[in-house]
Amino acid sequence: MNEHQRLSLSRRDFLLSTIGATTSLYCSHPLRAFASTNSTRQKAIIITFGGGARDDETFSVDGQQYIPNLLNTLAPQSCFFTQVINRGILGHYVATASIATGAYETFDNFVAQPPAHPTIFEYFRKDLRRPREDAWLIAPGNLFAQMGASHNRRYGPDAGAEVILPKQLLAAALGPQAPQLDAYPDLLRDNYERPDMTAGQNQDQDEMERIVHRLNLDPADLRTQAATLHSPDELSVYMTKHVMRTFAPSLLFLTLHDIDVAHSGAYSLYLEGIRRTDRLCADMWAEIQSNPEYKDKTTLFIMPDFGRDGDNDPGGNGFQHHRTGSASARTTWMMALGPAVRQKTVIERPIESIDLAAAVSGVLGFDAGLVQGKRIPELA
Amino acid sequence: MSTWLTAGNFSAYPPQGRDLATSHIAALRQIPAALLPVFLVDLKVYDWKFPIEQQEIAKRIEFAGANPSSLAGFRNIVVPPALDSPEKVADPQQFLAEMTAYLWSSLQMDAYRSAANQFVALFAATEQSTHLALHPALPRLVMICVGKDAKPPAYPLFQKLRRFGQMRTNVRPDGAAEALIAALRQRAESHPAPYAHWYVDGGNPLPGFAAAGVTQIFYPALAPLNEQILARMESCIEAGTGPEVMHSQLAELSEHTPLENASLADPCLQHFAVSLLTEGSGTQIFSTSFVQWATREILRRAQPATLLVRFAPRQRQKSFNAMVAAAASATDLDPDGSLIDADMSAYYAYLELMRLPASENSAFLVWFENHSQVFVAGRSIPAGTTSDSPTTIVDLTMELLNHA
Repeated sequence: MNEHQRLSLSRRDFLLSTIGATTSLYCSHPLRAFASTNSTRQKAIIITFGGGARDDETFSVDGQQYIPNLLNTLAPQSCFFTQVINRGILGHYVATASIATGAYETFDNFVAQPPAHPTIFEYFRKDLRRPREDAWLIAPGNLFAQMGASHNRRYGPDAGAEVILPKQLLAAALGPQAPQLDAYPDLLRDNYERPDMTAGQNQDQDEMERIVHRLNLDPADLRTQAATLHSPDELSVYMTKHVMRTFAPSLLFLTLHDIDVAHSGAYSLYLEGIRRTDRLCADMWAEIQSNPEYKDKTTLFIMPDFGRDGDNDPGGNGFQHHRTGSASARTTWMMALGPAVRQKTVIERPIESIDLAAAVSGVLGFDAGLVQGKRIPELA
Repeated sequence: MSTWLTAGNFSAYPPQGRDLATSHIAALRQIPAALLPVFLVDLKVYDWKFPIEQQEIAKRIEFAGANPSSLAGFRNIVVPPALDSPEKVADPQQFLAEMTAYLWSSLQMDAYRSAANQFVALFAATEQSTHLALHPALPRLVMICVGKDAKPPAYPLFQKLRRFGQMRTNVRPDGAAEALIAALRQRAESHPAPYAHWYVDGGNPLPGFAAAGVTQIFYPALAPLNEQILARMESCIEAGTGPEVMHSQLAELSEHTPLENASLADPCLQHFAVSLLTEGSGTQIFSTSFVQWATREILRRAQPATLLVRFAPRQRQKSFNAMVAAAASATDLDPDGSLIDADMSAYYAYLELMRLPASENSAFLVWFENHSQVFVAGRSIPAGTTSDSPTTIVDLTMELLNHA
């Protein structure tokens, strides 16, 4: 048994005992976790964690205390994949872009640039002829600004997603006369792998102002709301809900990033990030259930972009980074929830993080011709 | 293989590193390009390495030269001509950064990791016998103080450590700090050796601390260094140069230590302190991260006989800019969060201690400062147990060391 499988079994055993799930291993036929669906009515929301959380702090016996919502509320309603392997570059932007394109991108993780392969946003909009406001990306910072569309000549920005960078959008919405972002220090917390000290400076002021106008954000209301938020991810979820209530897009991709504070080496802050992410995932599911545009027609995918280094790997420094390429850093999990998903199902066979794009294309019914990830039969 | 290597490629290296390279040039030529920058980085800063590290670097080069089969995995890694060139030797940090980026982008990192594991295992196996000669004259003793100013937590302390040793829940806190200092002082006096006995503190040193022969690092004393490093970081970030350039610029600081107001008289220690602040992540901002990384690096690099570590409360999390501004004089502290950080760090210190030669004889102690909870691990300590028998730190350290 290799390390990827050991991690997978650990998650499986824990979930089986906790939520009474069944597992595909014991079924005579592969489970079809998705019932037949009418794709034209379907919506898909993807939540990824930039700053993967390890099993030690999530689905292990010791870790369960940090994820009460994922464990007790969401997992029992989900089809849970215990072994999701990321075989690409373990940097958050390039890994998240790879999830969105369904192909392992190989660009420099620290340079803002469009992915090489078409994104699910482009496939979705071009194949189904959907308007721009039907596909949105809410991403944590400037680095992700060009993740909404590739530079593939057959697709590209005209077929891409609307992109929100919440901190930049907040700054644009407040306007030059209003208190600047320094008035909201909790929202300027950043990770320490690539601190963004220019968070309040818009990369593209015109673009942010255009989106502010499209979202019809009221500066006074925004100021009031922003003062109640305690982290960049809380701001991201606030913006996401605003988009859902305004445009009800069919395809929505939210990338959370608070957990990546782990790079600072402060274990308590890493745990705090996990607890917050756990709460925000449940918050998003509650929003889906309470919004008639989404209720009963939305599939929610939740997946960390990858893991973090293991405690026993001498080449790393435990939870702090994801540099070793070990099984602990490459292996994570995914849960899918929604009316068409078979609940309490645990899938043990390994899948790859780039397979998610193929799964989304199946849910929404678009052709994703250049996706390298494989279809997930249990979600086909 | 790096057959193009010549002694002339090392002309800009510091003297000891240059001498080692030129006297081992045949062995270095055996090393495939994918691995070469790792060896070159060590040679470039060889002059400031601790004595035991210098021995290990020389032995590793000799092993690679004498056992080319140990490098087989690296030969299967495809490296472009631009990274297989004498021009790269002058700046090994940059070489390493470029090689790492290339290995990730070409999806060869797993192959590299596998090759590295193979090499490390083979080298360690041959070192097993020589390690007997390297066994410390004293059994190692690591003493860690956590939780300064923290409230007793609602969760059980030292949860990850407990299976390796014993929880003592009735230890007299008065006199405990003095006992730890005394143990350090006595060992330094009885077994003096360079970099064998250390004291690291995230705050100001414990009252009454004074010990000859103890290598000392106190986080507040490094503030002048840290401020210069933070200033470099800020200028890099504001210029938008990206983390690779920033890392490269910080590595230059580490390599040449051209910083003003050097806080430490010993160049080797000064270099080490700079490396903790430039290579560690979060060490510039959080004292707990600094102490954790320092502990790990002291154990890994200096392999000390005695190590006393004390965590102090770190500043509370704020925006990055605000934390940089407050790094040197933070007043808004988070003692309870710092206890959680230090608890995990103590676990990592134990894991690192267990990787050292003669780890089976080591003694390990963590004290929740000013409280009665202590964790101990050592040869005579029954693992996974708890005891509420009354005791003192003096008795515990004696018990640990008498049976080590």
